[in-house]
Amino acid sequence: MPRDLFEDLVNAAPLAVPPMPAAFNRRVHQRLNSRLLAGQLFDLAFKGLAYSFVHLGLALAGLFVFTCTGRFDRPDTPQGDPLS
Amino acid sequence: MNLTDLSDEQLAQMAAREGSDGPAFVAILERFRERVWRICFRLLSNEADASDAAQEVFVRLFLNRQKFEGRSKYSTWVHGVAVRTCLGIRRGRGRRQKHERVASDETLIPGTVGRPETDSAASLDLMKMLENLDEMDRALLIMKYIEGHSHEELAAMFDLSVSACKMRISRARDKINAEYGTSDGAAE
Repeated sequence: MPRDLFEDLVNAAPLAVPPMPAAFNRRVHQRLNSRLLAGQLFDLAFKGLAYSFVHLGLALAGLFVFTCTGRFDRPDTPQGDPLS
Repeated sequence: MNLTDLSDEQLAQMAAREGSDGPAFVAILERFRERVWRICFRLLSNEADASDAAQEVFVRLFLNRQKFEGRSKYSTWVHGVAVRTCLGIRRGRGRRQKHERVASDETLIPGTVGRPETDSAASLDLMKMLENLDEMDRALLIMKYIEGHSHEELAAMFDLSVSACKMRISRARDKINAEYGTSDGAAE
């Protein structure tokens, strides 16, 4: 019965694997650290700073309105609040 | 507690609770690095690419350490991450580069230096044969016949059903046999 060429070659081929590169663990940790750093910088730029700018922008807008109109509208205070 | 006494799954659970690459993740790295390296090298056939891929595998393992749900063995899950990482790298590089690598394979496998010509030639023939297959079929054959994984493990690694796995392997072998023929023990 004819034999499977692929099976013959798998058995015959040594397919040697070279030893791992030196300092492999250190490189993994370095790559991981840079990936984490990139992730944190991304979060800072697109989440933290964006959040800060939105709130700072609202504060500046409120200041502008107060300067022009003399009214200090706080959306979170109920209507008729004597302190508003 | 000695981390070396823990099972893979217990280590994975500990690593998932760690906030950084702490002792459990380091133990996982030590435990799996040789296996991951071997898989990466066999799938990529190149030391530099395999090193890059193996590092990327451990980064992905860390970043996704809370996603292991225990539906398969942890080792199978790790091997699946390694296979998918290598497939992604190979797909990204295109076929032209792969053919160049295979053509120079004799210099890329240091272990074959000084071995008999026939072993080296068989290794090269095998890699050339595999290059003609679809990426996933190639990886399936390597993981099945060279790494010795069962169909069930392969199904979990490649996210296929067991029957689909068997079918793909059978078709890939048929394709190789159709292209290169069968031997009557001539390769012995």
